[in-house]
Amino acid sequence: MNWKVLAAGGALVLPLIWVLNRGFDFDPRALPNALEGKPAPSFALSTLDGEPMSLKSLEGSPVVLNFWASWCVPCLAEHPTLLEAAERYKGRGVVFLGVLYGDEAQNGTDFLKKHGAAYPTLLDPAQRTAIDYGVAGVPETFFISRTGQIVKKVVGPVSPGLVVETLEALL
Amino acid sequence: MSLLLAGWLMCAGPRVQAAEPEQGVEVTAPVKDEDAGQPLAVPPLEDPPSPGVRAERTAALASQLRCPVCQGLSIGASPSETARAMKDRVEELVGLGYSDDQILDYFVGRYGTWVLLAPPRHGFTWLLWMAPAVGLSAGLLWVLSRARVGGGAPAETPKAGSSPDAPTAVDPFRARILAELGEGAEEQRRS
Repeated sequence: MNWKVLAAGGALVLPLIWVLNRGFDFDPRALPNALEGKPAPSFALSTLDGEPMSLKSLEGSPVVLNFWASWCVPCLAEHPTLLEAAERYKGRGVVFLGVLYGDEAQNGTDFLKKHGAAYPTLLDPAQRTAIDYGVAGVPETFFISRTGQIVKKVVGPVSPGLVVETLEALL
Repeated sequence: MSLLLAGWLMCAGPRVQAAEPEQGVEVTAPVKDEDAGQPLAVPPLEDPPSPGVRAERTAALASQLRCPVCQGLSIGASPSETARAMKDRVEELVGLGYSDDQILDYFVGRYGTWVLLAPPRHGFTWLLWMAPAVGLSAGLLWVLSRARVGGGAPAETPKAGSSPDAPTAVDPFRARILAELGEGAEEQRRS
């Protein structure tokens, strides 16, 4: 009789343990990088200065696409890293682009005036491009290869080491 | 990394409020589809629906998609700017003739299955869908098996107690009742 109870208990509990154990592999707050390894969604937007800019026109160059906002504190934290990387890789053909997310154009312009700018920032009306890229918050940074593939998506501020490592692999 | 992520999440939070006032100005204009041409890699499967159907399907789809900035709410239920933009995108794709599945695939392709409020009915999460049915039938089987044993038990108890002297324990009362009933019946017949 006892072994029967034990078997029944095991049959009930073991699958539960298995499911819960699998749960340890998941971070429910982690955002999936569904687009990594996929072609970068195309966009045709204009910069804060009103210049048109499309992804298609940048074919052949690695692109760093950074979604940011003036009200976002981590964006400010990573700003020097991006400026420095943009200066460093300009000569090697890497295109850096910002996309303003959930913010007013004027706020973006003021932010860049105050903290410096080394590359253009695009306006994204109705967050069309942000949705195309699956952006769930800022900052998010996409590294796009010469052939237009998204090779890496970084959620949260980028570190200098990560930018250098990713771009060296792309070049 | 988790610290950075926490910072990013904190960042995603306040924006919901921060973005609220300018909503009316920025988002009410319907999204026009001019320069983008085909917004998806595949052509739409259906003909563009009528405005009524379009609104209905948009609402139905919006209730199935998770809002990325206010986790736990659908984009239909969330007032955030991002949710509103996503809903506009849904409406636009519905209007272009994309099927429900195509539109859900579009969002899953960008945000992962995480964007679906209901877990997909295949793979690992299929277990979630099966669990209630499995649990219910297991419970039912258990109850039925108990009921069979239990149904037998009351029948067995008297049998267990039906030793040769049992009738004598019952009989005096039975005899008396029968006798009284018999008397009563006779009295009635007489009167």
